[in-house]
Amino acid sequence: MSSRFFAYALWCLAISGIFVASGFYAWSPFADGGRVGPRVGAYGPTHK
Amino acid sequence: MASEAIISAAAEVPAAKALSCPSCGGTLSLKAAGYTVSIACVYCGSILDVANDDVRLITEYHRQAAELEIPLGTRGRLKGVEWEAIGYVERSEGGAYPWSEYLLFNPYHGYRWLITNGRGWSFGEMLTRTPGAGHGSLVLDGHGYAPFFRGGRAQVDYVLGEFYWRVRVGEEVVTDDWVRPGFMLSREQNAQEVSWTVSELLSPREIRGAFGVRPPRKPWPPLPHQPSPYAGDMKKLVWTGVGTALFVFLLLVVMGSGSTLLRGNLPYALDGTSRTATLGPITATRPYQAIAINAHVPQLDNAWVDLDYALVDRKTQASYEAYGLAERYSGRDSDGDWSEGSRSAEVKLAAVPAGTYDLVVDYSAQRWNSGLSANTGFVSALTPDQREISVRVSSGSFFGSNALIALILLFLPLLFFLHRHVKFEQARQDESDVGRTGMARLFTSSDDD
Repeated sequence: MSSRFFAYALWCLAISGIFVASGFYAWSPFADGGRVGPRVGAYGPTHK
Repeated sequence: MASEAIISAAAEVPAAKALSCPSCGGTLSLKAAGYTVSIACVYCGSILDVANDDVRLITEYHRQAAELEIPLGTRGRLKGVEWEAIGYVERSEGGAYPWSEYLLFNPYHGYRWLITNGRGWSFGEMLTRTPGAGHGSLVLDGHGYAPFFRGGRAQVDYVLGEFYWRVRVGEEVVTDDWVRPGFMLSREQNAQEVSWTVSELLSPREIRGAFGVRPPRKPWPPLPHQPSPYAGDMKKLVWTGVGTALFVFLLLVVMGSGSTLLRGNLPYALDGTSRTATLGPITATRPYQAIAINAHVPQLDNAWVDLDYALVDRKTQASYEAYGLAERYSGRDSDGDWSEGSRSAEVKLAAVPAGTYDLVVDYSAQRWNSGLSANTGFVSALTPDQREISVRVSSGSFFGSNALIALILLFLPLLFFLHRHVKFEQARQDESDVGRTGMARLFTSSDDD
C-alpha cells in the first residue's frame, strides 16, 4: 500500500466521518434557517 | 550472444589475467580472459586487441583516464547476482544527449549493461531473440512496447576497460527505442549486425545498494521508460473514492428525508394582508434533526406568497426561523406561452433538538400585476375561503448540500492526481520522437502546442 493511497483512504474516511457527524447533528452550512435568539413574547399555548 | 556463449561454457569459468599495455607499460588485469576481445587501458586510454596472446595496439592515446562514478573493478549485487564493472563507454548522438554505459560481467551469467544519462540508471541485457510486431508496437515476453525514439545515431565518444568486441571511438550505430513503464527496448544497427537490448529502470535504492551511486530522486523531465508515480495507484484511488461517494449517497437517500410530523392548511387572500397562524404541536424525537417545511399553493398564478416561519419550542421558547417564498408567473409574449417560478417552497432548518414545537407562520399573498389578472381567472374565481396553502412539516438527518460538498471534497484529490499524472506523461512524452499519445495527448491544450 503506497503512502499516497493510505493518505487518500484516510481523507475519504475523514470526509465520510464528517458527513455522518453532520447527519447526527442535522447540521449544514447551507440550511435555510436555524436557531435565533429568544423571541419577545410567547408563541403557542404555554398554559391551559 | 556473448552471454549465451558464456552460459553454455559455464564450467569453464574464465580467470583474471594480467598483461602490459604496449603504449604506457601499465599493468592491466583482464577480468573476463577468454571472452574479452579488446581493452581500453585504464592509464592511458589506448585500445588494445587482446583476442590473441600477443597484445596488439589498436588505437594509441596518451590521456588521463576519466574518473568514473563506478570505478572499473567495482563489484555490486543487482537482481540477486554479483556483477563486476569491467568496461565503460561514453556515447552520444553527435555530441548531444550524452549517456554512459558500464559493461558488467559475471562468469556464470555473462554480460549486462548499466546505463545512465545522469537522471537515472537502467540494467540492460542483450537479447538473443527478436521481439515480435504488435499494433504499432513491439511485443516481448507478452508485453507491448510503444515507439519512443526513432532513427537516432549513437556514436562512441570514450571507452575504458575491456569489451567482448573490438570497440573503437567514433563507432556509430543507428538506434531505435521502444518503451513500456519501467522498461526500454533498444535496437542498435550497423552495416554488419542488429542487436536488441532490453533495459529495466533501477530504483534509486537498487543502484545505491549495488554500487553506492546516488541518482536524483525525482528526475525531470522524466526518463522515457519511467513509470508515472500516479498511474499505479490511480485505479485503487478511484475505487476508494467511488466507494465512499456511494456510501455518502446511500446515507442521503435512506436518511435524508424522514417522517411527516405535521400537515396543515392556511387560508389566504391575494390582498397583501399579513396573517399569522400557528400549527402544532410538532414533536421532534431524535436528539437533533433537520426540519423541512414545505408549502404548496395549488392555485397560485401571477402572484406570490411570503412565508415567515418560526419553529418555537414550547418549553424553552427557543426559536428556529426561516423565510420561504412561493411565486408563480405566466403569460404570453411573442415567443408564445411562458411561465416561471414554483407553487411550492421548501425551507430546511438545521440542528433542531428534540422537543415539542409550534410552527408560527406569518404570511401574506399578493397579486403580481392586476393587468395580468385576465390570465388568472382561475384564481380570481375563487373566494378567499377556498384558497389554501397546504403546509407539510417533516424531519430528516442529512442535507443534500452536505452530500454535494462531501462529493466535491472526495473527488478533488483524484482530480489533482489526474492533473499530476497528465503533466508527468506530457513531460515524459515530450522527449519522444513520436509525440504525445493517450491521456497526455487528450489533455493537450492549444497553449501546450
